[in-house]
Amino acid sequence: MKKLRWLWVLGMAQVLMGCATVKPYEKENLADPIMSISSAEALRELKWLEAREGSTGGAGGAGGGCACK
Amino acid sequence: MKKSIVKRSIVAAISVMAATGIARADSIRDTLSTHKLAALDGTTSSLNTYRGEVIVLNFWASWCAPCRRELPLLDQWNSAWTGRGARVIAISIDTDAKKAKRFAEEMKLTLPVMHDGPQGLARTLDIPSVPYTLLLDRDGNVIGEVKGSEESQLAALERKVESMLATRGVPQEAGMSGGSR
Amino acid sequence: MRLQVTHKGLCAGMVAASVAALPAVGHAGLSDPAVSYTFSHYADVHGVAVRGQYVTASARLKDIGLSLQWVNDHVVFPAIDAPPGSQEAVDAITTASRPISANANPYEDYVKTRNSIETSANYHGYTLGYYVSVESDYFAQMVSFGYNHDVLGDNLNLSFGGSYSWDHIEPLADNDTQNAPDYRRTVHGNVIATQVLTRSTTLRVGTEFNKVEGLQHDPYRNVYVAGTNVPENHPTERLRHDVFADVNQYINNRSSLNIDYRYYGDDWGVSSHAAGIKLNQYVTERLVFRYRYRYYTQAGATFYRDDYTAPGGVHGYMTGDYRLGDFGAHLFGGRVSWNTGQWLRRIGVAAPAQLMFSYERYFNSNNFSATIVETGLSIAF
Repeated sequence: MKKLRWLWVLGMAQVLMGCATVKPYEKENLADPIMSISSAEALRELKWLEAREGSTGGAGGAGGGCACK
Repeated sequence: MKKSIVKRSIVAAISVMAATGIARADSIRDTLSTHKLAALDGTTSSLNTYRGEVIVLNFWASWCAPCRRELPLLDQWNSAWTGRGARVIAISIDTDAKKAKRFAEEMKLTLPVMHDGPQGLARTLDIPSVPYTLLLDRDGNVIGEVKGSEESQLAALERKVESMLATRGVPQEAGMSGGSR
Repeated sequence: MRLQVTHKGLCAGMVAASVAALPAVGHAGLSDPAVSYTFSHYADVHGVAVRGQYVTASARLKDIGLSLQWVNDHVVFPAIDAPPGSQEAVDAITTASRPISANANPYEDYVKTRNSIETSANYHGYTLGYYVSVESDYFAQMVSFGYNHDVLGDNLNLSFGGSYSWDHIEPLADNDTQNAPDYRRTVHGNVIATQVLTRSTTLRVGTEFNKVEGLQHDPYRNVYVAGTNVPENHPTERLRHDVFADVNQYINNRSSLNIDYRYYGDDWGVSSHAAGIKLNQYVTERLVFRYRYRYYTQAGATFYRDDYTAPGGVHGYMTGDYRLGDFGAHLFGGRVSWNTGQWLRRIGVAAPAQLMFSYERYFNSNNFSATIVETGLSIAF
């Protein structure tokens, strides 16, 4: 797990150092609705997945508590 | 002796910077005034047509949510200023002019809407944000800018234009960036 | 539902990507004035059915984004389908994860309703939120905060978030378990970075942790241990951690591909890998199809056993929860979204709206499967 964490940090650093600068007026494709990640949808899904699997995470936030089964 | 050389060097450096700044400002004014803009109906014009009026130039895109929020406000400004010596011109940087046209029709915009794409004035001026608004005086000089659509900055810009229309001068206003370009 | 977060009213930042970088709250999360309704139906092979309704409203007050979400869940646990008094019925009652008593007949469906409200406020990248949820045996509250900021020419968004939740659990009367009121507290933190790589590519990486204390087993469930029927017992502390990454790529024929991966580990010994792929495709100017697949594999908790042969379980812990065992799962699905354009004007709604319908199937290696159907309407003002 520690190794994985370091790999992730190094990978991040490498990506950040190699990134091109994209200007604000060049971000049309990035703003397309098909490029958006709905955190509402992710959290709805996380709620029922947590009730069916032993893990959690990836939606970028904690859902509130419940007796979900 | 040393002190006077240092003093003269500083003065020279400031003069060069000022001259470069002035030259850059002139270059931007010339670029803005001569660049051909296409209206959504296909006709072309340049900002020279509006020399003598105060211009609020707004760069926007149909894919930009804050732009969609602020355009109705800019439309209201344009209606209020028509015939009084100021106007708002909205320049779409959408790649596809059809998207800009569809958006303008849906929003029932009455202000002049141009289409210039992402590789036109936006690239030449290297606009730092979308939306991006410039305030031009009656001679076409850039005397203010608003990056984004923050309400307080837009309100300050509106006050500045109203003040210019009232006094025919250029008073300093807090809350928006002044003539840095 | 699509979310957009714009700080300082700038689009030029991480328009799409910043959505993903939302801190701990914002699930109610539209920041432009909008209302939305989503209906969700879940049904699995065990007969459990959950009907969920989500109503979200968001508005702007000057530079403050506000949102409010109400969620209503209607959960049905099926009646035990075995002749009364039979060994099958005894086993089903023993291992049931629902109360069984004079007021909760095991041979009738058990129905539970849950209502929750979540509200959040966003100002210049700072977000604060509050959540409360009420059901017959569980009262949950959570406060959360977050901050996100664009750097490197607005091409990198860094987001930090955290939340603290405190839940009060009051198990209902149950024939074969004796449970006093209890609590559960969770501390959550996350750090997420979203980087624009090219004009059509974004990369998001993040890490999260959760520290959970309190009741973490099912208060109604018993487990057979060395031939004896004993209440389920899990550790009262759990430290959970995950790292995740996803790449979003726009493809020139008006499609996009999203590939995601998550690794999870905790101090109960559970670890898992989840990887998914989503393909979005414009079919017409306003119609989008999305296809998705998700693969999941899990290594179970150190104290999980299919059969407990030694008294006392494993170091005093025993579980009847298959979720804590080894298994793999697949999820397939499709979704269609329709931007209504001018269509709703015919019925007097001037604002743009979006209709959505999705269908997904979930299978795991425990012969478990479920169907999830969602439909929703969102209107932006």
